[in-house]
Amino acid sequence: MSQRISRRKFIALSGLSGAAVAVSGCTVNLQAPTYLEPYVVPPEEALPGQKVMYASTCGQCPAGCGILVRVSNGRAIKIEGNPLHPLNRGKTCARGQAGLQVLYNPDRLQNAVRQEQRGSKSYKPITWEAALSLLADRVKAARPGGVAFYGNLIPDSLAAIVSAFLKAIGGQPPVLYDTLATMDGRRTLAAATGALLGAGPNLPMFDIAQADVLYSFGANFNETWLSPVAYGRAYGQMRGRPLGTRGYFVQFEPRMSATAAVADKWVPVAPGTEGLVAQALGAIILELGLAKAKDSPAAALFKAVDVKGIAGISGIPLDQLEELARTFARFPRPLALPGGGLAGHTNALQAMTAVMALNALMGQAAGPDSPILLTPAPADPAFTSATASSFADVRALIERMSSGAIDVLFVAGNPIYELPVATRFAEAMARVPFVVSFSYIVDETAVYADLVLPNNTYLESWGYQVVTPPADRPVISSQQPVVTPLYDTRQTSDVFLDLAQRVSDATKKALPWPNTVAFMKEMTAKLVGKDAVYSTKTAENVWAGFRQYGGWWPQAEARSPAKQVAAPAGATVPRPKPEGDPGQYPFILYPYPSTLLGDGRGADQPWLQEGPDPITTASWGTWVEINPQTAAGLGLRRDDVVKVISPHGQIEAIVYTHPGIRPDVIAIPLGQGHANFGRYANNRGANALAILAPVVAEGGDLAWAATRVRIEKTGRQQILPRIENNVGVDFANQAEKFPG
Amino acid sequence: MSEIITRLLRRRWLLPVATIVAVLAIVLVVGGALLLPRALAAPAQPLPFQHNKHVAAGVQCIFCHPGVQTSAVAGLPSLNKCMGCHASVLPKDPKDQADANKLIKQWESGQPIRWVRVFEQPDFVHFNHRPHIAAGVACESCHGDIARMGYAQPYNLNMGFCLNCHRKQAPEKVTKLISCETCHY
Repeated sequence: MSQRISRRKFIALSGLSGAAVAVSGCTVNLQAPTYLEPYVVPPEEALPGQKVMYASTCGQCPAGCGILVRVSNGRAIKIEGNPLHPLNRGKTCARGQAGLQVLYNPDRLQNAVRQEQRGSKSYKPITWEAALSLLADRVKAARPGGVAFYGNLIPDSLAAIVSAFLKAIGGQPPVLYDTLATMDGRRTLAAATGALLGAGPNLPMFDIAQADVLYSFGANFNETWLSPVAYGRAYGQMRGRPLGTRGYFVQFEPRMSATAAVADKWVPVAPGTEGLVAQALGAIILELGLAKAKDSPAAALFKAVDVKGIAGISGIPLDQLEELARTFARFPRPLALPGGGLAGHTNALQAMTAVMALNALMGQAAGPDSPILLTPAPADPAFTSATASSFADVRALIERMSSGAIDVLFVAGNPIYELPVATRFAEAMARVPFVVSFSYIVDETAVYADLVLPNNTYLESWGYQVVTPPADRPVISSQQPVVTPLYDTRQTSDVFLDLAQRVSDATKKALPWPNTVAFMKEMTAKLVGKDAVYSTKTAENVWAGFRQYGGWWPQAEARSPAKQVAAPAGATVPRPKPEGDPGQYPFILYPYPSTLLGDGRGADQPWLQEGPDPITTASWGTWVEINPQTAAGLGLRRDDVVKVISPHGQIEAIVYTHPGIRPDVIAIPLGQGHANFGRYANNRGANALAILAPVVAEGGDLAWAATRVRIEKTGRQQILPRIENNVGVDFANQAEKFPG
Repeated sequence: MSEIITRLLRRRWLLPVATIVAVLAIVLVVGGALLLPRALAAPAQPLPFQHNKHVAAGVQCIFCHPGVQTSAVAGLPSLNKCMGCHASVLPKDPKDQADANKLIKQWESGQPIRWVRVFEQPDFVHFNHRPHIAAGVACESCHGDIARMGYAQPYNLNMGFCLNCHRKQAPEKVTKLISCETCHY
């Protein structure tokens, strides 16, 4: 800039440009116009500018809370809990609130697409007619048993239709694997409860509201365990009782979860020894003569227990064990929760059985006053609740896929993201000639699918959910579209009903319904004459009430406690056997479902991404919680990026030093590390599920906390977004931030 | 007086400042004069529509905008409602059939019409049609003589306009009607 501008010239120029702005201002619109789009055909109940509330069921996790969605002029604008629904009584969690962002996600697939070359991400739109006839041809050409279905815990209506379809074509039942269900220990808990309290698997609900003393063994019920909203409400009732009767709460967990953070006492038990601790507590109670039901068959589990040995390996001193045992036995209504944390170890089934037996030892497991409520018999045998498949079932499916026995694979989940890489699902899927994904967004699995038939979101779908574990009464929660589908998508149950008409006479006969609504009308007609909060005189009454109230449930509370306790099968809880050489891999990896993102299904919702984690206050990333002592030993500081290496892979995460974790354990939240899940989730953080060892626990589930890891520095630093100050809760950075 | 002016004029800085002020004033006045009619002009609409012809045919305002009786907003008629008449009724003037055909085409496409909003209030004002209609206020007292318009024309609905009418109400109601939080809450 050698040319100089004189003062006079400068003023002249600025005056000119000002004039130019003024003139151009006259030619553009004063403000962008707003548009009014009246309906083409208005719904009967719609009044302009007036809200309409629709009752439906939340689809953000398998719990099945009732929701009310406020809709104005055909647009869903707010989700709240349904106050009449017996499970959540008008409450929702953050994930329930964020459901609108599933509906309005800008990366949703807007029509069915075909992919010529898997992984190419070059999708060609395909009409539904063409897609369905292609699919029908593929299914017809498949060998017997050559059609498989992999899904999450999908709504029970869809599970019923898919099961009937697979049965009609002679296929195996659907594999319903769900990371959240695995981390909740759903199957193992049902098996342990069924063996001890009733015939067959039975998922119980624990009435913690009435408990005087609550010992939670790895149950993070205020965050994600089974029905966090129902438990959160009951927890408030337990702790809200007047002084003197307020419940006392102890959490046994290797890492301080948000549930442990509100407990009276957090006992940092060694991972995998929770069941052993329960056994030791029972043995002490029995020895001190404090057991209220010492003749219970469950007492057999507490004889000949090596209490001293357990004190050694669990890291809880003997005197503390005794004090804990005395406290538990001191009050009339103690309750021990076999939480999801137990399911992560190889001894899952025995550990959960031991905790349930501890309840039996105190006379709490059976009888009319028992706080343990079993799943009641369904209102009608047709309303069955889909049970989660075991990890063994998943491995069997992968085995069949890689041996080339599967011709068509339906996917209504995201196995490539949620299964450990060591299961080699992706390689097995490459050997399946035809893969169909029902994802509403292009996810990690849909990238490798030949056909993506986007499902409607849960706010645009019909269906029902048999609530399991139950509330204080049997509940069938209804799901109805609150808006017309935004795009040319179809709900998966309709796809299967349509497919049934095309495939064979057997499928036509098994699934005669033209659409899901017809199926639901026939199902709800089975509730005629049953007690409900509305009239059930005719099928029309039930159909109207079912949608209007958000489902079916009896008017009065109907508790379903166990009648008697059976003798437990095993004698003692084995020690946990994590995979990996302790010399090479010194730490146990404790992955936990994020309170907001869940197992990763919430990562496409920015409200959940930006919400702070309740313990670390961090968001938008993946961190690894390390005890400050351990970190100091490794020369690590907060915000260092480290490699977490297991025998099955490695991921990178940001160090978060935190005293609320055992020095021999590191914890990583799940949810991030998506490669394909829409703009808000992609390329953010890492997925700890990927590096897990595929260890099967006793009970058949994935032992998700049985992987040993080591930590290596990368030398890089990255500041973890968090809302707490940089000094941190452990004051580790105080000297640095505030020298002197 | 003249002394003061001459003394002021002697100050050398005053002339540029006065010039700038004068130029700004001219820009504002001319700009305002240019822009105000634009602000009050009817925006372009996606389909030809003539209020006057509908009123002349005897259609009441409330027939197409029934929301005023029950709701905060008047609402625009659905295509379904338009077709309720246009499926069987021919325009009086055969020349208008070309316009009606555009509507029929839109109905056949199944897509909603994207009308451009004419009467718009800022977000900090809450207006509710229902009490106004219940109090017997005629539509044209706020919307102008729509019966003579094709497209609806904007009407200068500023706060003075509202208060002008609110002040003229029954004395026991005026205090509430002119209170800020009646409209700004």
